[in-house]
Amino acid sequence: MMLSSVGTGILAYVVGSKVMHIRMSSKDERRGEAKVKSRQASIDTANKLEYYSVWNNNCTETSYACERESSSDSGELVSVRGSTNSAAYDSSCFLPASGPYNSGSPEREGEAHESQYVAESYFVFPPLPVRDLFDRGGENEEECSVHDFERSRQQNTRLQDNRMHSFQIDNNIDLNSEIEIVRDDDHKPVVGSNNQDYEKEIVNILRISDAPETPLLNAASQGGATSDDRVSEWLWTLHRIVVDVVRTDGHLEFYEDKKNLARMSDILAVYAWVDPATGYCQGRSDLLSPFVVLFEDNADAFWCFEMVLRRMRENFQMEGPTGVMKQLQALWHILELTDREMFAHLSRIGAESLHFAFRMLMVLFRRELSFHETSDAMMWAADFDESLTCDLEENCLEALVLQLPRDSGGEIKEITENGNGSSNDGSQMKHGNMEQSMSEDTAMKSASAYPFCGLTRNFWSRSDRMQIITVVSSTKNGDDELPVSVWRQFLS
Amino acid sequence: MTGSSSKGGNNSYDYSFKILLIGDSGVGKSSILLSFISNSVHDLSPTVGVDFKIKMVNVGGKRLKLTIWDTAGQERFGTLMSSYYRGAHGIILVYDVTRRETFTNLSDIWAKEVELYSTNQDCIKVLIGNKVDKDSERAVSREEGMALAEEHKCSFLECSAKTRENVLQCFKELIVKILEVPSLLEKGPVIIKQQILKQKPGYQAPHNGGCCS
Repeated sequence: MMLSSVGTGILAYVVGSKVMHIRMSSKDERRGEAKVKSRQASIDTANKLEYYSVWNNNCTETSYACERESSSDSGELVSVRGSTNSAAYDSSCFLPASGPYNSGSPEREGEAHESQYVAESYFVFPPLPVRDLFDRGGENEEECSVHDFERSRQQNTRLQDNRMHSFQIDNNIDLNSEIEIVRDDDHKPVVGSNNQDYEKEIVNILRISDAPETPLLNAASQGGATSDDRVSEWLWTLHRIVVDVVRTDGHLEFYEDKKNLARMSDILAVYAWVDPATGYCQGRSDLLSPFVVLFEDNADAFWCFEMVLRRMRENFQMEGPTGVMKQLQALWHILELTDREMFAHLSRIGAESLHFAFRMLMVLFRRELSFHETSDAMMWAADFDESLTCDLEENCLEALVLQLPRDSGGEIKEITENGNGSSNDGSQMKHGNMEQSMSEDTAMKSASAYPFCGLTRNFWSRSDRMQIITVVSSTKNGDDELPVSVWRQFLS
Repeated sequence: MTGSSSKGGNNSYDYSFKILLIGDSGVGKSSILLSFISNSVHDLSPTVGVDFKIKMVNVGGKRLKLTIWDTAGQERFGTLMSSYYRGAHGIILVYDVTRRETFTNLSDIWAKEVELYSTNQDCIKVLIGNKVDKDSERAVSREEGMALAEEHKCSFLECSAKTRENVLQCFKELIVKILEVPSLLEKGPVIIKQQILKQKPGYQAPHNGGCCS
């Protein structure tokens, strides 16, 4: 039931419903008009914008906010995207809720500010791709004060007003020229171009690393097909995000709450926005999910997620041999050196490309290890804080590692230190298991709850040597025997 | 030529077919597969990369080993894609009857992919409209599906992975068609590879590495 509505409902639905109560009270009288518009939109727009109509259908049932989103706020995306690739700052703007009506999304706004606030206050980021997203000069004070959006909603809205104006100009140009969705001249905001320069400045500051140097800045004013394409491209991205989000960790009660689905969508969308070079890619939701569960604050979750992706980013690049491919090749060579029997077997069955390990590396074994063990998620978080990592390693992991072989009944092979094999006992791996998993109709997806968290010890320790842990063990899950084959390779 | 008594796993079989499931994200490829393989139906996570399932079936007195590749809906990794398609005997194109864009993308994107990557000229294609259980939300009519199938010269079926309606028929349709094409029966890439490898005792030699995609 949730799936059917959210699945095609796009981010708009989720975000929209989140802020609905605010919108409902302020602009309720516009509902009817919006409906008409959105219908019109679905008629007017052809082919590639077809999904508007799908959304509209969903949205009209649910919230005014959604209607606004689908019919006009989507245009917002053009201009924002057109004018920047910026990060936290714009993340508050691109989100559908913050539409031209300014009854928008104090909550988003609050979150965005919060993230800045938090980041400035506590975290020292290593010098990695993201440049200082928060170098925003004088506005910082003001921004931070918006932290409690409920309390300072008025102020917040005002802030947003100012900020949105410059976007809206472009926005309307785009929409009027290409997509006949927006007919809301009466809502056209007062021109507030004083923000324009500032925003461009922000644009130059904010950009995650090697985003393609396309002249996005002027795209909006060029109008026409490019921005139109960009709109539909972005909407398509949002669509894909939600389609995946509603299916991620669906077994958790946590995600029965749409709010949490919304949080995940938002964070993924923000990331896709600030890192257009990789955009959104399947597998991200798996990586993000533990943080959403772990942190109540979206900002915290986002930054942890961002941190993980710094390591993983290469995996998601669109062109050329991706990081995972390289890792798979490396894994193949490592196997050849460390486990000839396994290597021979895989060669024999024609599994040289190790496709089965692709997912393992891509989503960091999220699908192989169970979420149920919250300590798994703990590790993720722990990586964020060095001292906690050490603490965990000292206090917990030894016990967990010891626990593994005893429980699994399988064999464990652990190789560390560049394959010098610190523990070579038990090196005979059960190829029977492997073969089974490759050749029988066994469900490859392991949904079994199993305490594999001990494995993360080496994974999370930050060293510059290459570490591999190879574990082959079998677990029982219902009546199916599930061979869980885990290769873990970490090239730090 | 057949892979008679080939020992890929524990079972012997007459033919081994590689079948590929493609289509947009969330159309239910994995669900169809799960519905086909095991009788269970439940929500699945998005596929990352590719998932494999193997099922042995008997059709027309022949024992068949189906290696079904369940791909991720997001067309992202071109290098991977080519290896998915390589040597596929059958391709199942899936769309969601409740989401029109998944249908249009089949001809806009997926059919082109097939053309680009598929190595078997005679490879059999089946067009599947999934989620017919949600008839009230239907956005693509049966007739449209049939028209597209005709255009691409493939069979067409509507099914529901959830209710398992027509799921078995989808695969059966595909298999029967594959069995009708002699060239496909000869081109078992897996079998060929196995035979080549069997002749090479030094199987762990790095020359096999060239097979990596």
